[in-house]
Amino acid sequence: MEELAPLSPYRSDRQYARLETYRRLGLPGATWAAEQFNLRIHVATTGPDGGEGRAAEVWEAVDRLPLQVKDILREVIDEIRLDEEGSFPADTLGTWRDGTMRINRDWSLIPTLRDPGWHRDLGYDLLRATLVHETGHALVEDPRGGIRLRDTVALIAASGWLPHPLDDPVPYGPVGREVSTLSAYYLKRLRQLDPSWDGELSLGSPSIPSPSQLDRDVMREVSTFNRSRTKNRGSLGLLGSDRLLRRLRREDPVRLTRELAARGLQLEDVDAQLRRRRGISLYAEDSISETPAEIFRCIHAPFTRAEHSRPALTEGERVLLEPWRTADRAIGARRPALAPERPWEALQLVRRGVGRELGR
Amino acid sequence: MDQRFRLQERGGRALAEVWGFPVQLEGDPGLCQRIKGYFGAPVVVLGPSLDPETGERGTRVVTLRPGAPGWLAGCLRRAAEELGLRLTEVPLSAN
Repeated sequence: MEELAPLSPYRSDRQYARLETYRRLGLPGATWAAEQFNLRIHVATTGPDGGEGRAAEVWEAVDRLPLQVKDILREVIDEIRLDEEGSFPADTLGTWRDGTMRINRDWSLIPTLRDPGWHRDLGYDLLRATLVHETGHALVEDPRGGIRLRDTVALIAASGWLPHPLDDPVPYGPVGREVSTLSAYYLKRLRQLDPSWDGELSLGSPSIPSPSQLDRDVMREVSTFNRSRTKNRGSLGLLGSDRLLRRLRREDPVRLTRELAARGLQLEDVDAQLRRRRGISLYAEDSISETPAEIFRCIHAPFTRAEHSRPALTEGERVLLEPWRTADRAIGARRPALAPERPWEALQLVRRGVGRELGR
Repeated sequence: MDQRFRLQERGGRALAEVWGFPVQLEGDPGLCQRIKGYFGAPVVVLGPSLDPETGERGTRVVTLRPGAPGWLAGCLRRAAEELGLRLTEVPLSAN
């Protein structure tokens, strides 16, 4: 079991009691969060009314999270803060850093969300998506643990980030056919840029460069400011597949075909590789270290609205889910959830059959 | 707006191809007419946020204006879901 623990650093050996169980006992959601997830809650008192109602919505969203996300939440997040809209950059729904997840408590103040049609585009539970996304950050950036950089790079490789074929044709050849060889190549290139990129450490480790530097080293362009800082360092120059396709389509096809041929590639090879590693969604196109989080969201809510995303989804699933499955098999069945800390009421619930929710 | 998409009825023969901005449609007239109704509004997607002052990372909503990269795909994804169509992208080499 010890050998497998690093593959699934946050795997819990327990189930989680349902929020409804606590509510039936008249216990507040904050008690459920504290007992089941070791979470503290802070609700900002400034801003519009309705903070408590918002907190209740957050707990309901947490209750609906996939089991593996709950495991990460329990081990990595110490506090959820519902902060006022003004404390976030414009249009931000939530953030995570160093054990604290901040949720914007006033989404009604975000101009875009005032349009009742927005949900047709997003098509899923926005609060749940935000919680999972921030938990995904924690998964790869937690300074106390997190998955290894090697696994983060594998997720990037699985999720469709590729260089322009004229800048680096290697991923379009045999190296790009398997996630394992592609991620090993990306990691080797990263270490050439900066030897301190240690694949065995997590992105949040103090002895490894920051997630922002991963963005700079993996992507060619983050912003004008960062471009000027990285021009002498080089970069893997990876682009999200949608963006790369758009760029390729803007180029002169005759010249592109000729220049690809000079590198031993055909346009069809490039197209096939891009489609095989098609991005999971529009979500992950702007920042490379967002990608693992987005994959994480997708693999635990396994549906996608763009049919061409499925191959990347399958590969991402293999990369990230397999460690959990392996650890699950080794650790075995989860113990029942902890009952609410009100034994008399809990006993009554068991007698009425509600206790089955606790695995009894 | 240099992507080209194909929408096809599930279990049917009607087919349409869509590309460009202003949007161009080609194919089954009835299907094209139904798809046209989805080009009137902005598209909202989730995206990453980064506070440059604190380094805090997170999630934000992004509005894609008509003609912006990803806007056409967003409109067609909505159309495909609501009309029960199969959405695919025409390969680069066939463009």
